[in-house]
Amino acid sequence: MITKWKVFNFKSIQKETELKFAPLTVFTGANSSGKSTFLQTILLVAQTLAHKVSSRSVVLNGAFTRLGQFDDLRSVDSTADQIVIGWTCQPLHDPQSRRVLGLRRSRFYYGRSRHALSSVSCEIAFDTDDSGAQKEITQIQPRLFSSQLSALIRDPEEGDRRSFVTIRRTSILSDTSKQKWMDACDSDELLARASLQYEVECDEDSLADIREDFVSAVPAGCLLRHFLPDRLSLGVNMTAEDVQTILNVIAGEGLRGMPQRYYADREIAVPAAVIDFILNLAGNVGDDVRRALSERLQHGPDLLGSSMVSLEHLSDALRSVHSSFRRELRQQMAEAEELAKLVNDSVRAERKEELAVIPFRPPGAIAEASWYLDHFFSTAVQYLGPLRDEPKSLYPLAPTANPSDVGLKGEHTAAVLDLHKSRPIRYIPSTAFVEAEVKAKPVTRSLEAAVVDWLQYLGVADSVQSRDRGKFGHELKVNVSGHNQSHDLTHVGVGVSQVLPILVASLLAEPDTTLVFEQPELHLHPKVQTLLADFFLSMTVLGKQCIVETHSEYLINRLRFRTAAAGEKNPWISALRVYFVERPPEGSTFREVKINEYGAVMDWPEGFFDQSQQEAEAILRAAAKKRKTQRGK
Amino acid sequence: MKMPSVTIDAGVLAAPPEYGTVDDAHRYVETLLDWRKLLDEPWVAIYMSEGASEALFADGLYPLRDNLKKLFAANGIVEYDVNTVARVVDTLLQLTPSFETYFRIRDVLAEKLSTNPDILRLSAGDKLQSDLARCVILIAILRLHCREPIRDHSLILRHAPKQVVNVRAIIHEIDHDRNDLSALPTHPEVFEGNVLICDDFRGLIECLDESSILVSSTDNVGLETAIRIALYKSRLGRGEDPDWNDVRGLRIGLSFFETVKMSCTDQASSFPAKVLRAIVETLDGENLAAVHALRTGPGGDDPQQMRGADGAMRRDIDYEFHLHYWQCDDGMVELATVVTHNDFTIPG
Repeated sequence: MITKWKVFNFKSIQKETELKFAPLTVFTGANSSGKSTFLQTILLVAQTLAHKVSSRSVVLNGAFTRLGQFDDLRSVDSTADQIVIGWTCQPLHDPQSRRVLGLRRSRFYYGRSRHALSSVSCEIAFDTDDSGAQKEITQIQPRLFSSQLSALIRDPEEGDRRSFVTIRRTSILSDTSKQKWMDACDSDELLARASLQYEVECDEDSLADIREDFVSAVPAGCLLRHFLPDRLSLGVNMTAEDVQTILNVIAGEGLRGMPQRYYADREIAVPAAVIDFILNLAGNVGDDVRRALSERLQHGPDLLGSSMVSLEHLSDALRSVHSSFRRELRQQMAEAEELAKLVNDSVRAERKEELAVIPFRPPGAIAEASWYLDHFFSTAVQYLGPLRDEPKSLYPLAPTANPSDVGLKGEHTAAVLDLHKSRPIRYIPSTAFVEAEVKAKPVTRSLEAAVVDWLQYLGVADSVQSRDRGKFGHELKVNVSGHNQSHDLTHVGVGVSQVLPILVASLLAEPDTTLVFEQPELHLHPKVQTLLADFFLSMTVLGKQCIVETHSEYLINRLRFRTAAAGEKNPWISALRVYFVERPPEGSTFREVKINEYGAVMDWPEGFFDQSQQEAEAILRAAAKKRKTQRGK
Repeated sequence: MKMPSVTIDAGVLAAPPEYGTVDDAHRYVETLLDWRKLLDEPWVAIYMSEGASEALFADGLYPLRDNLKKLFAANGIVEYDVNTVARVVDTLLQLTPSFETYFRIRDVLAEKLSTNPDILRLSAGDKLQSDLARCVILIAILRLHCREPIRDHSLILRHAPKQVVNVRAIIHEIDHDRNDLSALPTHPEVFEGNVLICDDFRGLIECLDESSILVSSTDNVGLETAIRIALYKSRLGRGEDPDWNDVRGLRIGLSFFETVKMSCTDQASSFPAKVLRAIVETLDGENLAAVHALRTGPGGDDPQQMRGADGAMRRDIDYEFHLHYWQCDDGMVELATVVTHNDFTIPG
């Protein structure tokens, strides 16, 4: 679930605006005040992460929304070059496995099971290259300026831990520290070289995680999936790594101390001084041991045509020693204080310092956070726009990648309903909302039964039937209240075709889904608008977040009523946030409209659904004036 | 059914003064909600003077949002917000039919008006006072002289010191379209009449005559209204704080209304009150000595008449008449018939 969203320098949102989100977050306000603009930033992030071409930092024109080019988006009169979008998400966890629900949809799961990813924050800034040949391209495909990702890990034993990674675009030419890493890359290592255009900063714990694999590693760059870190490019001093690897193998874990991924094609030569030292120590264990070890070492494979011993061969030789003697020998090597210095000095004496850039997975918490965001925004954010596909007798087949996607206009609703109509889903039945105080207890029924239940509650239809008509598409028929005959949607009011996509999309959504609705109340009778608020509340109980942009006073009033009618443990106070958006000349401003436990609006903003009030007063004033005039005649 | 009716004085809608107390604020809102509720009730007609808005405007009491804002802020009221309360007032002002249109009487030219007790001085402004004075005289005239008496008609004020207010005035002229006001005393005779007043829902119910509503009822709505009023008054009499909507245990059988009407028509004027009392006692489980099972035969050991799991019961209304009802398995009471002494039948 999204818990915070920040926008800066995006269309009418000129000032940095950070809003807290609740399970049901409602935006209201005048036309062109900036409500949709705020939602567009969510859609922008979602369509970016859902986009197959991962090299695009942000996708301005994608599946959800077409935003044009960068200059259309940057606030007019702004002095800032970057557009900034930031957010925080709180993953839902499976109560049994404690796994993040969103990641269950994933093909793989990464993470330490005793840890729980408690929250993930991300902030991206993007801009264009106005100076060079890339100007036109970066208008459509803006460049990432920076990306910050942080993860809060809840560890029941060690307490909370926050990990972060900050990625900033930098100029390789002007950054002298980058040059040595650039030199370390071969000219054909294009990805590695490209990754160095970003500088990377990690928290100490994450760095320590990395240095468990590479003691000399410094984050030198990053390969991105859109704006998320996919692989860190570690700048590594291979000489130092070899010293450490030799020490690990001879005095520590044996070959287990050698990171196979990076040494599969690489031989490490053990300096002769080190071999002599080991043989001396073996002599202390026993002459037979020394002799056997020496013999074994002499019959090893040539290393690069020289007489040097490879680390792998040394490890094999050590393993050939009888286990009781080998343990004693390893203990002596581990206790030999001069060994580390000897290895270091002799390795460095025999070869030049060697640098490398190695792609490496981001540290555990960062990787988990990155994958969570990727999955959340690419699969669990759904959007239904304000306009619906016109009612049809038959809905033609339309290609859609996601079989649960009803489409931006609800155009796939018939197909989705038909495909999933027998699928058991968990939902709150409408009967929970009959009494003023809601007793929301989930039940499991088929999607079709759940849809019919809510259609009846909303009073727009008594039943709905979908049918696959093969190559012609899908047929959708409903029975409206009081009539036994089924009609297709062209013969009933538009209310059904307006509501049905909302119900199907929401009921079918998995927990920890964010559903974005723009003006769901369009074409609906005030009573249906009112009851639709109950449906949105029912979604929040199941962990499905609804973000609703609305002009419906009825919807808001129903939410106020539910808040007022709730008992002492009022679930709706924390489940609801309402923002009133205004557009003074200096840009959109977002003001939270606080609804208290009595359903009253504290500090009612001027212009917040007071139009009908003002009209009523004006009517009465005019009527009183007219009556006075008439009586005076 | 002779539908009870009320006229709301415009002063009821004016916000209490800024220096009002928390109790004033709460009582104001609760009273508004009571009267707003009446707009939707099928058993009562609610009216307002057509000059109500004008009087409120003229006295600076409308729009009332500023006044309410100050009152709520001064008293730390968080339970209500100003706009929502103002919406209720707007609804009342906009949707309440005009008293003048319904009663076909528009204005009166009168002098030397006095009321006892003096309710006019309680008005919050001059225009409100003038509007109230006009309503008081017109209602008093209608109560006394028109052929379709509106005896139950109550005037709702912000504060009602007594239930009945005596009205005296010298009437010069009345602007009306009625044909039943010929006997009206005119100048220099003094008109004397009275009006019923109340200031809350409870007061309104106390003003109503449930027996006359029962007698004039033509369907179950009138019957149920009469029962509700009787039930409400009975509970009030027992010192309870009754809920108008709490008649959940009641179901009216298909023949009941017909038999009640027939018996009320044939009997003395006190009979409807007796029927209502019997119904109220049945619903509230009182005076159980007057109740026994309705049996299949004359013997005391004969089994009770049953309808599935529902048992037939007989309650004495007086020596001659009895109320037959089903004590249903689901806890409901289904009123079946009002019968004479020798009648032991009950419709299934």
